[in-house]
Amino acid sequence: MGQPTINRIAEFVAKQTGKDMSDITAATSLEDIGIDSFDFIELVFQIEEEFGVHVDHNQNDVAARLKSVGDIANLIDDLVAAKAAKAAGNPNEAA
Amino acid sequence: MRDVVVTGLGVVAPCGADVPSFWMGLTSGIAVSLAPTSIPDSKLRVAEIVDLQFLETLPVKAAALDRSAQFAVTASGEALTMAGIDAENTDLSRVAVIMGNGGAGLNTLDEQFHRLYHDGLPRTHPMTVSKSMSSSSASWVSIAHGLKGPTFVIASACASGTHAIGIGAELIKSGMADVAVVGGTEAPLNRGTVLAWESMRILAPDVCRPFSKGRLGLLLGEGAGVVVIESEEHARARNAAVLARLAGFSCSADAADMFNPSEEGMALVMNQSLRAAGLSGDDVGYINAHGTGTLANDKAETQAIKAVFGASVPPVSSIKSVTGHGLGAAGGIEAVATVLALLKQELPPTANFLEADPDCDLDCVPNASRRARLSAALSNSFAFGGLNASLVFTS
Repeated sequence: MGQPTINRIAEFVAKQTGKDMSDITAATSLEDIGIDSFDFIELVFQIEEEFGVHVDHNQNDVAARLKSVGDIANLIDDLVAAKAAKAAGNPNEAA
Repeated sequence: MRDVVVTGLGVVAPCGADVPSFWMGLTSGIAVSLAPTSIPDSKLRVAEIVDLQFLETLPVKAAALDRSAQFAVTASGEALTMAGIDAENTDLSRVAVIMGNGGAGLNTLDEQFHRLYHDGLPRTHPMTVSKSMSSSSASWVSIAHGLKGPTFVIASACASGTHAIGIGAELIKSGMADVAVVGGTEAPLNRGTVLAWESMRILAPDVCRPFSKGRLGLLLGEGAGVVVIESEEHARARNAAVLARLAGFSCSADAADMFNPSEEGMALVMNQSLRAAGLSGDDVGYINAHGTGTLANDKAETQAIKAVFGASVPPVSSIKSVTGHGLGAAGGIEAVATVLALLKQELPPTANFLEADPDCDLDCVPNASRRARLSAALSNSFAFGGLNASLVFTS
């Protein structure tokens, strides 16, 4: 996973929880750092806005798949790469 | 039937965001009148709450709540603290929460629909539903303060807060609850809602001048007013200080016109609430009027008051001259002011008064607060849709 993505996610998490950025790494558990159901929905929304991606999730299962800062960063990197590949393969869509 | 007493007050209003500063603002008679933050280049004026410092101590995440629910949670917290209600002295499953609001989540809807229709974005924020559903304010008060009794919202436009308080008292009398956190909340000062009101051409261009010659309409306001009420036996069992008695309540509908007030409907609820309290007009030392500052309301309310009180009309004032019209919050904010008038033995003024209007020949406590001796006071709310409600408080 890319460090810039982790840093950006860590910034979101720090802002949501009031914790210090230096306390947040890829291994940081979202639950342990105090991300509750509201924070999680807000987090996904902010990420989607910033990275221009759509996190295809259902509220019933996404929390089970995304447990740490690193999990989210991985997902974002995958979604951004998929978006770029799709755009490259379809110039009309990229335009 | 059980007697109902008031043991806590809480308020967030343009003239003060807690009970002491609110009362200081009311009795100063200095009106709040500003260009709306949402329409800064406008000539329109509103009574807006500018200092939001109280949100820093909100017991829940402020961003998850519409502004109207933020106000409700804040005012409820102050009222519960004053009442001294906690899990040690009260079964919290016996504490009802009834909030009145005219609209709900109005700022949230305005902001999120702007994203869709103006900004062209494909979706709203995921909290749009939970922030704008009608019951949101009551749910947040319950969540923030751990209250587990009957919890819901009453909507009766500008009488919502008064209905909520009266129905809360009925729940206590019937035995469904021992305590009720009741009042009204509203946050309507977004661009869409302000302009919707402006299109009715009933907004004052400068300030609200109830009962005065030269009055030109109402000033939109915002905020929340909450009272904690409980059965007298519950208050006594926990040695709570009783601030006042909620002695009478009545509500009715005109079944006539959506906008025009009815003197008969207004008089009906004043008479019925006095009867419920076991009082006659002579016993009442103060009326906190609905007093919107529109030509129609103030004239009709004057006639109704004279019909009810005959030769012994007590002083009447409208605090909307200072606070603006809090719509669904108004009844809650004005109930707090009415109880404070009883406690302080002082009548808040009708501010911005220019000169007497023959259509409104009342003693409306013009421009300066007044010391008084009173043991009973009445608070009126009248709403679009022909909805009327009155509360009677006694010492």
